Amino acid sequence: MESKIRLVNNKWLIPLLLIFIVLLVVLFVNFNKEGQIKMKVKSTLEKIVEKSDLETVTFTYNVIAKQCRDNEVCDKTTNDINNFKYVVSCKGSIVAGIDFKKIMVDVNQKNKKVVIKIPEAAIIDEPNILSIKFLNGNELPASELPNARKLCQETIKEKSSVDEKLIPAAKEQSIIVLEEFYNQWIKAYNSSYSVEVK
Amino acid sequence: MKKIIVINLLLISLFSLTGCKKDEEKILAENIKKMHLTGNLVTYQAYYHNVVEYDKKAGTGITHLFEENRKLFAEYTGTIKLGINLSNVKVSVLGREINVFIPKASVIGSPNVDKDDFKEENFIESREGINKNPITADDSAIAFDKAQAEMLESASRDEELLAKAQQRAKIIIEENIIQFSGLNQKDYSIDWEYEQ
Repeated sequence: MESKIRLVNNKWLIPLLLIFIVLLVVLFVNFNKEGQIKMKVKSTLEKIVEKSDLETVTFTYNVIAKQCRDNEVCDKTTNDINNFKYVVSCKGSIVAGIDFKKIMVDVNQKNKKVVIKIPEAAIIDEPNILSIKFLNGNELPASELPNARKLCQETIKEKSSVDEKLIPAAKEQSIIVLEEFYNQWIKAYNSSYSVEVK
Repeated sequence: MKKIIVINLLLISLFSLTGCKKDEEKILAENIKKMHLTGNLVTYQAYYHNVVEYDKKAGTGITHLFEENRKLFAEYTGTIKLGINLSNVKVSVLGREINVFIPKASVIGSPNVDKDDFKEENFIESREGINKNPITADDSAIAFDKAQAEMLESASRDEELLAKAQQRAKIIIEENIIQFSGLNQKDYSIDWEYEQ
């Protein structure tokens, strides 16, 4: 009787084991594929970021800065030049940076999609002032130039910190390159996948 | 006898190796031909925060009596795309050497300036004269056109920006070649020529 039970068990044991092994292999291959793509993307990313100089971007940032006659009673929102001690047009630039170490790569096996998530850009360094032009007509004395330069720096800093288009623009210029690059790359690596950079 | 066999074997392997090399060169040339280099390749999007200066002349006629010329200033933002025209890229294969000519980058499309920045209330101005010489919709439109033209000129003359856009195009084309070549990267070389 006992040997009969053993025989039945043995009869089911081998097919069950086989199914289990097949499942394990399928799971392993899938996970491995996902891991492989992720690893490949990350290793190529490092290279492309360095080669394309994507970590920092310099933007032209020219502003109009107003110097109050009296800081106690000064409304900077008015647009009449004559209300101010002087008004200057500042030519400057700012540098925005993206920390590519914080990049995330997700592989969606179901949709066959590789998603590369770029972190938000941030303004780095102080604004660089290239030139100053007085808009009131007459040139101001040379002694006022350092103050005007300081005014320009403060104004660029202030305006760029609330500029809602600046940070997305800094990110966008990286997305353009990475999208072009990975759309080509994935075609060769595994054409059944698509790449989204965001 | 043994010597003859060894020499024969060496000759056979040498010929087969040469044949293999010739095959690889043929594959390389054929695969590179398959590359579709058409359309524009955008590699850089520049962002500008700029100042436009506009001279508003005093009007003529009775209603414009005592008006004075005024200077108007406005801050505006915009983006502009840079890249290369892929159809100007020249690729030739000689044996295992690929020669690639990358054209100079240029502005692609029109600048995208924000029209809202040219509303009357955004202009910084000098309010002089008995008759005000007010800002009109025409003035806004003229200032907008001037801003677009200035941005286009500024980007077109920015050699540093153009060189960056060209370099990025090279990186993308290089990736294309790596994919299409069908060979290991060690088995061929790429010689780059940049339009100045």
